Amino acid sequence: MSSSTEERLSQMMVQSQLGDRCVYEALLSEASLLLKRFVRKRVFDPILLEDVVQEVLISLHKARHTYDPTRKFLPWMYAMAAFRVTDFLRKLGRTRTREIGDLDFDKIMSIEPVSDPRIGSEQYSEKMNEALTALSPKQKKIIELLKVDELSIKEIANRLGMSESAVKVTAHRGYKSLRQAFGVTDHEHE
Amino acid sequence: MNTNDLIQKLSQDIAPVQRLASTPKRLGFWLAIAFLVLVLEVTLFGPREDLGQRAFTAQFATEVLSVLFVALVSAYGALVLSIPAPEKKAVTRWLPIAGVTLWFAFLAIRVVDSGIFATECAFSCARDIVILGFAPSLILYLLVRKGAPVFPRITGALAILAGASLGCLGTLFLCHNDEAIHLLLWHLMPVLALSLVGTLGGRALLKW
Repeated sequence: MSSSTEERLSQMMVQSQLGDRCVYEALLSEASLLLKRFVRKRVFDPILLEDVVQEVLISLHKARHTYDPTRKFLPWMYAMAAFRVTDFLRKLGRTRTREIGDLDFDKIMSIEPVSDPRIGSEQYSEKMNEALTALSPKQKKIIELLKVDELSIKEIANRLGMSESAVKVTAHRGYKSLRQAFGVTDHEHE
Repeated sequence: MNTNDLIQKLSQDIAPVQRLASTPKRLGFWLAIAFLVLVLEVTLFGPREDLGQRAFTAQFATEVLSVLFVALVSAYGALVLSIPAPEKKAVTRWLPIAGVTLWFAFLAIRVVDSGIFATECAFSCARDIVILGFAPSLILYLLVRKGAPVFPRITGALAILAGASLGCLGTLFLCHNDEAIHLLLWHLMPVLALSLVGTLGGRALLKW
């Protein structure tokens, strides 16, 4: 990261501490891109990645009074990001032991999103419809809420009366079924 | 909610914030309040009768200085760690450990010199350390919570180490027993045990 970026972000943070709304919005947008890159190295699932990035942004917001302009901005931001990612992975580990049972969570976490050039073709759409029909109603509902309505895990959990981790697990199982329906194995994504 | 919506929501709510004061200032504030409370408590409990004679001996002064040193460096460490990306100076990391080691070494040498390796149970000293250390620990926890600690366990342990050390300092002005083995087992050990409790407390109480 160049020193000019560091200086610019630091300057933006100082202005944000004074209550400049536009600068703060720009700062958070830029920070979210950097954070996505940072978190992606540790959390591979795109939905979970988004969740963690949002958590870090909220942390940055809550802790903005702790930023000292005489110090560098990026180490300050990444320290919070590392803290939130570690916390998130620890919670996930606990959830895995409690709720997932025999499911290989690490493997699922390492699966990256499918990018298929056939997406959009008629044959693909038919296949997708078939694959969606094969999902359980709960899996289908959760994937729909995530992808169509773009709700967060927390919002879905509240709406369906489930725990957040149960929503994540159900979504993962749904994705896994979809991949299998398209003949894509987890192994191909490792 | 997607990330862009969240960013908009966060920036809508933004208000000017007052920056956290510098670590030395926060340390000074803590020391002032903690000492005031400690002096009041010691006065209320009634200091030892022989304090006038004991206070000016080298042994007592060394004991007071070593406990005070541990309290200061661990409080400083806790306050430094309450800010994300703390300065990674060896001073912050190693001074509390060095302070406790010196305190232990000082007492251990005195134990060997005195040849007394046993002492009777003195739960009252441990109790006094807990009582006298409670307010300084609580104030320091509150100061640390004003920040955003990213190492809550270590920060919690250092905050309790600082508070309990001040509790121990107060106890030195109450307790009549100056035997080294007593000070080692019933003054230093409770402080270390409380610091371990602080590790757990840090995780639970320093969440933000």
